[in-house]
Order: sequence, then C-alpha cells, then structure tokens
Amino acid sequence: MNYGPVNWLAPPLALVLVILGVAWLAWVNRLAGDLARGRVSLETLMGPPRDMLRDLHKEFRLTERPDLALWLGAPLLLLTLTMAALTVLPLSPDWVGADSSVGVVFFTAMFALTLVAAYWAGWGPNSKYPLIAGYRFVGLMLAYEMPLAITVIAVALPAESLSVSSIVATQQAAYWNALTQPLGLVIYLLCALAVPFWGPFNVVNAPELAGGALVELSGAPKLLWRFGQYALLLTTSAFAVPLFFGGGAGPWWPAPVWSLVKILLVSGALVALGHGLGRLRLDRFMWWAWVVLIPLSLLNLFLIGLLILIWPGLAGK
Amino acid sequence: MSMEIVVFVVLALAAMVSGWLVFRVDSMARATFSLLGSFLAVACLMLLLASEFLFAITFLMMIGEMVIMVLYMIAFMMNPAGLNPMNMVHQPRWAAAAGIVTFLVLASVILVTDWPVSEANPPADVTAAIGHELLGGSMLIFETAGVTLLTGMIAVMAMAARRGRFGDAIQVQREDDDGGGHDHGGHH
Amino acid sequence: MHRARHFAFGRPRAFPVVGLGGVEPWRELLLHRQLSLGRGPRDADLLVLSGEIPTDWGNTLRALFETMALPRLVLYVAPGADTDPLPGLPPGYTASSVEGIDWTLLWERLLDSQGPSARALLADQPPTPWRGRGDHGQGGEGMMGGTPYGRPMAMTMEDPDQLALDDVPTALGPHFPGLPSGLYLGLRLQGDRVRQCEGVENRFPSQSPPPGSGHREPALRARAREAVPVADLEQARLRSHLGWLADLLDLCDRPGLAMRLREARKDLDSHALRRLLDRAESRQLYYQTRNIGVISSAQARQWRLAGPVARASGLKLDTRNHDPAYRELGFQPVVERGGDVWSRCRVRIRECYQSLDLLDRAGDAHTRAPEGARGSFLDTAGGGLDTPSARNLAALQPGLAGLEWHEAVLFVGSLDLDTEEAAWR
Repeated sequence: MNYGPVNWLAPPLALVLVILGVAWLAWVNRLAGDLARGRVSLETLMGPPRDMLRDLHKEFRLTERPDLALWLGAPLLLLTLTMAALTVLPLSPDWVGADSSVGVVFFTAMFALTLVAAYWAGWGPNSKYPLIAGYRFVGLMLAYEMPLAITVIAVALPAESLSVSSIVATQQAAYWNALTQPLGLVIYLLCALAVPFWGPFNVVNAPELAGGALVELSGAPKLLWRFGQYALLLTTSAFAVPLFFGGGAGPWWPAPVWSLVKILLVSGALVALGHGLGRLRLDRFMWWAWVVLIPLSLLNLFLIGLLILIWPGLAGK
Repeated sequence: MSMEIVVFVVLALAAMVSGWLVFRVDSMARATFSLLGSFLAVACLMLLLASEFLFAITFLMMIGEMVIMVLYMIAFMMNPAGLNPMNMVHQPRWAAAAGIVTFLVLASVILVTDWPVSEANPPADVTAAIGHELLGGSMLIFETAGVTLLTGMIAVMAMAARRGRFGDAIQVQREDDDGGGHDHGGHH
Repeated sequence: MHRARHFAFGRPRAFPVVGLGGVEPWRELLLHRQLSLGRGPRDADLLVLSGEIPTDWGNTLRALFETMALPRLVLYVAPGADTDPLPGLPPGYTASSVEGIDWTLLWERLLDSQGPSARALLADQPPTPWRGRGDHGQGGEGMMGGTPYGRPMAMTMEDPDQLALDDVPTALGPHFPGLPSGLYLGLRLQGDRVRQCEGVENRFPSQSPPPGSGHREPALRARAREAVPVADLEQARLRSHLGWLADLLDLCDRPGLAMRLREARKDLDSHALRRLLDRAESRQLYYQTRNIGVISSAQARQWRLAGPVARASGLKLDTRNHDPAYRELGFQPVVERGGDVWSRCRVRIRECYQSLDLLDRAGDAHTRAPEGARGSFLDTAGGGLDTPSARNLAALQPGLAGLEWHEAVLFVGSLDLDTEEAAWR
C-alpha cells in the first residue's frame, strides 16, 4: 500500500500535541482532586508544574538486583505504543499519520502492548508491591481487551471498513455512532479507562499496594511513567472522537480544530470521572468484564447489525 | 525500493537476534520477551508484504500469548529472574547440530525453489479478501463457534472466580495444618 | 536553577512513622497546606517521625530512610521530648509542635546537597553475598534450597488441589502507609493470596499508659473509677472513629473525602460531619468492603474481641449499656450481624452518628463506663491493664488466612488497631 512521501514534520508535531494534551489532563486531574478535597487555590494551578519539576530534581534510586532493561523500558514502551497508536488517528481527512486500511485493529493491537509495559513495570524493580500490581493488571487488561475489540468492530460495521477515516466519513454522511450505538459508547469509554489503568481500574498505582508500580519509582523515570499513563489515557479517549463523535465534524471551525476540542473534552471528562467513581474491587471488575461487558458488547454488535439490515440509511446508504 | 530492503534487513536481523537471545539470557522473563520481540519483528515483516490485517492480528495475538507465557514461565521454571548462575539449557551440542542442519536444509530449499512472482496489486479491501479466502461460505458457522467458545470460557470463569482457587479448602487447611509439607523433590 | 529547585520542593511529600503519642501531631501535620502526603518512602522528601520513637526502631528506620531518594530530610515532631536524633539517622529538623516549624529553615536543610542527609547510610552491597554449593554457584541441596542473598528461598507447598506452587515468606508492615505504625505481620503468600499469617509483632515497647494519653484518656480515667463527663468520652470516640475512617478512605482511594473528614474532625461541626458521614457510607464503600474477612460471632467470642469489631459480628458487648447515665439517655449499643469489613465500617459510622446525637443531649452527665473507641479497658487478673487493641490483635493471625492482598490490607485496616495502646500493660 502506498502512503505517499513521508512527512517528517508529523512526528514532532504529534509529540507536541501529546505534551499539550498531557498538560491539560494533569491540570484537569489536579482540579478534580482539589475540588474533592475542597481546597481549590493557587496551588491547583501551580501543582502540576511543581510536581513535574520535583520529579526532574529527584534522584532515581535503584532497588536490589532490579531488571533495569525492563524497569526503564516500561515507561518508554508506554510512550512508544501511544505514539504508534496515534499514527492512525485522523484529525481530519488530510491530517492523519497513515490512514491504514485496518486502522481499527491496528490501534487495538498497539493498546495490547500496555500489558507488556505494565508487566515490565511490575517485574523490573524486584519488589513485591509492583509485582503484585503488574500481575493484577495483566488479569484486568486481558478481561477488558475483549469488550474493547468487539465494540470497535461494532463501530466499523456501519462503515463496512476497518479504516478510521472511512468510519469518520460514514458518520459525517449519516449519524454519529454515539447516537446509533450508545451502549457501545459506554462500553468503549469504560475500556478507555481500563487500558491506562485510571480511576476505578487503578490496580497498577494502587494505594492498597502502597502505590504499586510507583513504590520504587522516583525521579525522571517516574515522570515518564506518569506522562505515559496520561498520554495513553489521552489516546484511548482520543479514539472515541473519530469512532463515536464524528471526527472533525462541526460548524464554522476547520476539522482539525474540532477534533482537538472534542478530544480534550472527552479525555477531560474521563479524567474527572476517574475521581468521581472511586474504586471498586478487582474481583468485582473482573466479574463485570467477563460476565456483563462481553455479552453486552456482543449484544451491541448484533443490534447494530440488525439495525443496518433494516434501515440501510443508518449507514448512509 | 532500497528503503524496503533496509527495513527488511533490519527486521530480519531483529527477529533472528531476539530469537537467539531467548536461549542466551538467564532470566526467564527476558527470554519470553525476546521471543515476543522476535514474533513482533516477523509481524512487521508482514507489513512489507502489504498484509496489514495479518500484521495487526499477529501483533494482538502474540502479545496476549507471550504475556500468558511469561506468567507460566515465572511460575514453573527455575531461575525466573536469572539471578541464579545456573545453566538453563539442555543438550546444547545436539540442539546446535540439529539447528545448523535445519538451517542448511531450509536455506537450500529457499534458494533452489523457483518462486512465482505476482505483478498484481493487492486487492483494495485486503481484510475482506482474506476473509472470503479462508472461510468462504462457512463464515457464519465459524462466528457462531467462536461465540460459543467464548460463552464457555466465561461460564467457567464465573463459576471458578467466586471461590478462588482454594474455595472453602482454606478453612480446612487452617484447621489441620501443622506447617505443611515441603516438597524438595529434585524436580526441574 | 536554585529558584527552580526551591519551587519544585515547595510542597514536600511526607512519609509518616508514628511513635509514642505521635498520632495527633501527625494528623495535625496532614492538614497543613505546606505538606502533601506521599504514597511510599521512595518518592517522599520528608521522613516524618512524630512522637517519641522507640530506640529499637533505629535499624528499621535507617533502612527506610536509605530507600528515600535525594533530596530527603528527617522531620522530628516530638512534643516535649528530647531533641537528640535517633541513633543511626542523620540529624534533620526537629520541632516540638506543628506550629513551631520554620518552613524556610526546613527547606534550606532539605535542599542542602552537602548535608548529612545526602550521604549514604548503608554500604552499597547486598546484606549477605550470593554463594552456594553447586557447580554453578547455586545453593543448597541439589537444584533447590539454600539462602539466596540471605533470604529464605521460596519453596513449594502442597495445596488442596495438588499443585505444588511457591510459598513466599514476606511481611506486611511495620510502616505500611495507611496501616497502624509498628505492626509487623509475617505472611506466607502464594501469588497475591495470603496462605497464612505466621507471626504478629507489635513493635511498640510494653509500658503503662502515660499521663495525657490523648483520646484514650477519658476511658482510662473511667476505668480508674473516676466520673468522666459523657461529652468528653463521646468526643474522644468521635475523634478516634473519624481519624480511622479518613485513613481507611485513603486506602480505598478516596483521598478527597478523607481530607474533608480530617478537616471536619478538627472542630467537630455536627452539621458538616453528618453530611460527610452520609457521603462516606455509600454503596461504593459497601461494594468495596463487603464479604471480606468475615468474623463469625462464635469466633469473636472465642478470640475475646472487643469494641466495634465484636459488635460488628453480632456480639452486644458494650460497657455503656450497663451505665446509668447512658441508660438515662436511651443508649442502645450499635450491633451488626455481618462480621465483614463493611459491618465494622458501618458500626463505627453509626457510632459516630450516635455520638453526635449523645453530644447534643448529654449536657452535664457523668459516667464510669471505661468504653474507649476501640472497646472497653478491662483489668487483668494481676491488676494490669487489658486494652481492647491487644485483644483485637488476636483476630489477625486466623483472620488473614486465605485473603487476597487487597482484602488483607482492608481487613487489617478495619480492625482499627492502635499499636501503641495494644502494648500497654
């Protein structure tokens, strides 16, 4: 498949956008936390830059016989998989890294690498709390990958194509998938919280494990790990925009601007939701994923298939 | 053209080197992830063959498989982190001989065969083409079978998960436990 | 550069170690806006030693301080105690109260990269070398065994389902964030499930209760046959329960509500507290804590459990029930039947409501019921003191078996053990 000449401006631009998105999420998170505590002040504004500088000034200390390649590779892998997944995210029909014909399966495959990254973050430090955290995340992610994959296939059904751009085009010709598949949207957003282990699914940085993967991390690797987590949350929620919210569709402004605005809104909402939902038990969430979400996502798939057979206009035909 | 050759060489080397590393490293965790690296390099090679769908599916499957394998490797193999300076390979000379012979046979087969070269473009919708080719008229049967298997797995999980692996046995063990049985075995 | 560093550490992260009489200074410090709470020691800036630290904790604390990444500092908050640093720890910043902390000086010492805190305390080598008997250096009998790096090797154990998997000896505590300080639990894990709890150690020294024991004081004076105002007793109970609830909510990852509870605990504003307690007693907490660590009433009777822990298992043990002053106020002990972590939470939350109600109506009534927040203070046969926390410690060893890790942590938290009190004789 010919993707045309390489645009060497695209990767640095994408990185800049990710950094800005992560900064936005860090502030939203800080605001949500301070609202919950009832302590909104100037510190809410100063907090995220202060934490970032603090991590840069803090020393990175080794544990006894860590597996350094895996331990330091974990945040790098997290960031790499995020950037790789963003390759197929279209901000507009022209602003896309590489419009792969199987974009949807491509980014699902990239998100699967989170399993590896979280396992490395757990195995690397040679310490029991991160190890337990890593193992628990493997169990959680294997469970939540399935509803994600099935829901994403249901989204591809009206477009009859696995390419993210065709899904956006179909939505702009007909109805947004958020309207035709509300169940799918809810399932996707839940999985979008589970993949970067955020909020209710926070088994990797868990407080009952004394911080989990964060127990032995300090300094620049910790900053990179947290950055990678935010970037992954940004990415998983960013994909909800072309898949469910019609991509760059909207009046007055050009498509890329609308895409970015929607991405910021969706990711900000998910970050804030992480605070509101608190945490449920891991075994409850496993049960929810296997016994409730997978059948529901299959139901969603059948429903949308049926609807399209009955009303072809739903898919813009 | 040259970019493709460069990418091919890099990926092929990566696959071979990480495959070799599987048996060189002492740590079972690193061995598994080297194997994963080898598989992912092969998956990327499929991109060069314009098989994007196969690339993505191989990626997904291999990651899940290797992570499950690492759990078993750590649980059952000795020397999980490679901290014990022990020899983890068996019969290295026979294995090396078999490896070299296999390499020579396969290489000669590859070099001697007259491979057909197609000038046709890949179809526009590769995924649909693969689907029709593989499953053809039996698509519905396969889908139904897949969903049934999934249902079976979920049912097992729902039954097993509530009581955990030990279920009520912990209570029993608590009452008549005096320190348990240590099994030194000599198993490896 | 220097200003950037100063800005970066403007809100230093604290990791607490609570010693004798250190609970209240630490709670006060938590509310301070200059400080933020750290999850673990590695990423923390300040090791806060509040209260008088027993000297035999020196080695543990030295190892703990050594894991902290630079820059780091020890902050002693010890009301009235001597200001000598703990042997083995470098001198840090000492204050006799939270108000007396000079933050500028603290920052200076924290950011002093040439100071004594920046030097390594322990040698950079493993405690015991790795060397065994085998041909390749492996240890012990055949392929297994030995003591790699001085730690017992994980051996396999026979399980009820005949799989022989590893049995890992490890520990919970003594300074686990969120659990009582000084509580050391030796556990044998399989994966993240506790097979059994091998040993429970309370590292506080045995002693008689000091004068001015904070919120246990009214109950202790009642035990000494003094007539104590009901208002004092109930206020102490309320403070203790609210502090415990805030710590548990931190463990359940609801730090916002925890901080609000701590602030409302300062001046005990009834209206605000009722609203916060309503929010705490939510379905979320219920789903998070139900069916964990069930203690049946037979077990509670057999292990001689006390206070809310016993009342959550269906036992109606409350010395206030027999007291005339309370009977006049129409007191009924709060009892739940579930016996799980949720029941224990619910008992304490309902007791908070009950205390708020009693505070409104008590007036000038006096009582002699020695019912502390954790249970009643009884006399032992030899005339010594039998504290409720000491009795509740008995629930740990049998109760932890079979629990998964997060359940075990919630279980220990739900028992509301006061390790300092448990060591009183």
